[in-house]
Amino acid sequence: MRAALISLAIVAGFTALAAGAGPAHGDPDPRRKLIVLEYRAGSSALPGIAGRVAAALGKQTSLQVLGPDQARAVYGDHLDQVLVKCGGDAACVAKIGQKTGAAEVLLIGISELGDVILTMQRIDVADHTVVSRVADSLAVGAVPSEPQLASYTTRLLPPGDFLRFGVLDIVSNLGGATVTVGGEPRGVTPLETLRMRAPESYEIRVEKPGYVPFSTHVALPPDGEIKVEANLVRRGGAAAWYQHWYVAAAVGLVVAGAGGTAIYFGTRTTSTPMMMAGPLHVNGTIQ
Amino acid sequence: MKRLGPLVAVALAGACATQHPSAPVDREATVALALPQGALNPVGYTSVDIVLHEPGGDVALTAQIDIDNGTFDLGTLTPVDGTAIEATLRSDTGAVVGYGRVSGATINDNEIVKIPVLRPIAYIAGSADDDQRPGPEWTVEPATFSDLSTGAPPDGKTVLASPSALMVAAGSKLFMITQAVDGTTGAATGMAQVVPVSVADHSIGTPFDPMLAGAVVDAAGTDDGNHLVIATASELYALDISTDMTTGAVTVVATMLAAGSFSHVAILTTDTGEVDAIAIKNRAPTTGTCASTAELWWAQLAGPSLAGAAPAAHMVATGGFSDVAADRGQAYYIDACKRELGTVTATATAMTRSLTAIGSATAEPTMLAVSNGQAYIGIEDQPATTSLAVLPVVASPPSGSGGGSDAGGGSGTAGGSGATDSTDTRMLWTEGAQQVVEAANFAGVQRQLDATSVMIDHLEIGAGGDYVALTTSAHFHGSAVKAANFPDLTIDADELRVFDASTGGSVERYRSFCAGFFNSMSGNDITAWQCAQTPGQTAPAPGPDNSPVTYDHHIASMTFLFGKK
Repeated sequence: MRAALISLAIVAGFTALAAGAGPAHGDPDPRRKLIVLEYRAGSSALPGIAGRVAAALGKQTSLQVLGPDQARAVYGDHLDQVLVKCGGDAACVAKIGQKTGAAEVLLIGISELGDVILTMQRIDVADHTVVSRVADSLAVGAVPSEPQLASYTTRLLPPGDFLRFGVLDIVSNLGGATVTVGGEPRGVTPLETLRMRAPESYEIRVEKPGYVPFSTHVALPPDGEIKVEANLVRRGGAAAWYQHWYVAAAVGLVVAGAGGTAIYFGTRTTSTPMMMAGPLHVNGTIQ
Repeated sequence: MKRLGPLVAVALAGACATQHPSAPVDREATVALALPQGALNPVGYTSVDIVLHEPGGDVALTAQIDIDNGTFDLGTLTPVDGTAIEATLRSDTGAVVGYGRVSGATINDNEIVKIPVLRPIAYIAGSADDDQRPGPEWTVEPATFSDLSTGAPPDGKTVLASPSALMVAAGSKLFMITQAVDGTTGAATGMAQVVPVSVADHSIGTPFDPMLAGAVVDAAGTDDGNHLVIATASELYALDISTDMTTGAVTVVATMLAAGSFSHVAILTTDTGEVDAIAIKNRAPTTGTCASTAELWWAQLAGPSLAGAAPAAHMVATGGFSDVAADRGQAYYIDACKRELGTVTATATAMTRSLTAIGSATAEPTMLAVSNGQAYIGIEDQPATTSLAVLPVVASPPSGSGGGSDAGGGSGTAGGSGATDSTDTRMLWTEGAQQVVEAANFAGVQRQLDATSVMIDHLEIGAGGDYVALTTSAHFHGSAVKAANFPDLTIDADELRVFDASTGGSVERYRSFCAGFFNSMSGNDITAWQCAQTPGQTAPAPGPDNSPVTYDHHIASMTFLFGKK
């Protein structure tokens, strides 16, 4: 009973900190790199919890999430030793994040005080400070569910991290055509690629006086890219069927469209990565 | 060492062509070069070359390294899956200071490709035959090594911590094989044992349990270090080395694949993960008349089709096989009698090209190493000339005149790059073996001996193709010259040669052993002789003052970290 009281007190304190720390840091890049590390104080409870959190974040956000294994691969096999030496010190853990090129570290601590105490600290690598914390007391043998993990991470990370985006690349055979996406004008062709909220369905119109307007709907997946080719034909001319087609090529997916309907043949998952068709930035590090 | 320059330029253009210019590059992959974390970490690097071996051709990337934080930017490229990747760390001068490779790698969003990178070090091991040493005349010596990233030549004195009969690198893993020698005859005797050696600091690990019978002759290993094939004078062995990732416990299972006198071996890993070994049994001596009595053997060591069964070996063909090699999942052989290069599978051999146009009519291809589709072939010719040729494993289609050939010259030159026997063949090096001896007590009195025989004993490619190294053992004899007071002299010499694989330039020339005897028939004969060093040649360090100890040693094995043969 005493242990439970202690851990509840920790929850209250950490929650207060989380509530007060958010606004001071503004809105960080929702695509920043975040590594999830696991620090155990003599407890073997909740095996693989950090990996689960990393996987969940990978699905829920656009963050570049590295789980413990990936972080170890980048940092080196001595990561765990260094983490133990850090003893939970934020500045020390931030240095680990620095070496891996991460903007933030999510340090997950597991200890036991009668119950199992799960703590999560979000550490800003640049500032060497704890931005937010949550903690919870779990009965021995209890395993947090996915919704529970989601509740922890939504309290830790800013809401903007859970807003996801996709990219629309709208091209036309004509310059100077007006582009409207979701009823909002986006400019004229040639147009820069558009970063849009996802998952979301958008109506796209491409118009130019004297030409038959082009109109279609696309369903934009998070972190996906759709290319829409609007071929405008002169009014009065007979448009062949193929002049209305558009090719929507999501990253790594096959997307076919006809008559304004987009059909997706797959979705992105972090557990079964698929080969991405688009270009990729390749960084290197020497360990 | 400047070989990659033009290749990089061309391939970079190819890589750019695979990009989608209009698409934003918001996905990221990481190439992590893992150094061994020890005293042998590569140092002095300023740039990195990355080569992706894709089905459509190689893609080469190069990047400057931010020394302060150890990062580099390879730019953008199309994701790849299941590809082989090579990484080369270079210094300001373009010299290789680190090299590594992986196969079956994926470069994709959020993927991290980890490539172990080690210094380009060549190890040589062998017994010593020094009658001035205290104790037995023949002794097993610790391996010495040539660290090509530092330029420090081997000296017989800078050695590993304990003696070894043979060194073998398996990708980024290093092993030594210990075995005693008979103190009187020098013949390897007793059981052999494999011992892991740290590539981080050369510390010696705990010997593996299996004991191997027969004098060890040759060995090869897979890039992941999990499989070794070892040839002895009486058996052919496979070692399966597995490590428990949780406990770190290492389990080693040795399988005797076949009985008989095995020598040259190679090992390959196919795209499907199958691991196969090839070996030569009853290899005939390469000096004298060529004999087609050698047997080519094949053994599957691992792979789905093995279905848990113990590996076993079988003979594939009989012929004048003199060496085997493996590259990109394909096994190769050369036949010294037919003078041909070919591929070998579990069931058959197939010639890929004739080698009859290389060298004189009596030249025999005796050693083979293959890297990235290029065959490096050691050639022995009568009476004592050795050459090193480079050519594609499959003959190029005939091209127009010229084509870089220089058929009219180059014979008898060392380090030349122009002498070719066909348009796609480069003769990197040709040399008649000679040794100069000098009278110890008469300054300026020298005698030059032409070898009566010379053999190329080992040939291996280092650092992915920047270096090629070979070892030779030569026998010299000079009859007495009464007028000059020269006695009848007999000398044996062992030498390590390391070449720049692109130019044939000599990078290292270490004469590890030079000793012999003379028959003095006259009281006027000069009776104190010593081997001279030629320019560019190094020799074992002298022993301590007033000590009979020398550091001369034979070369029984030679291996490169991440070497190819």
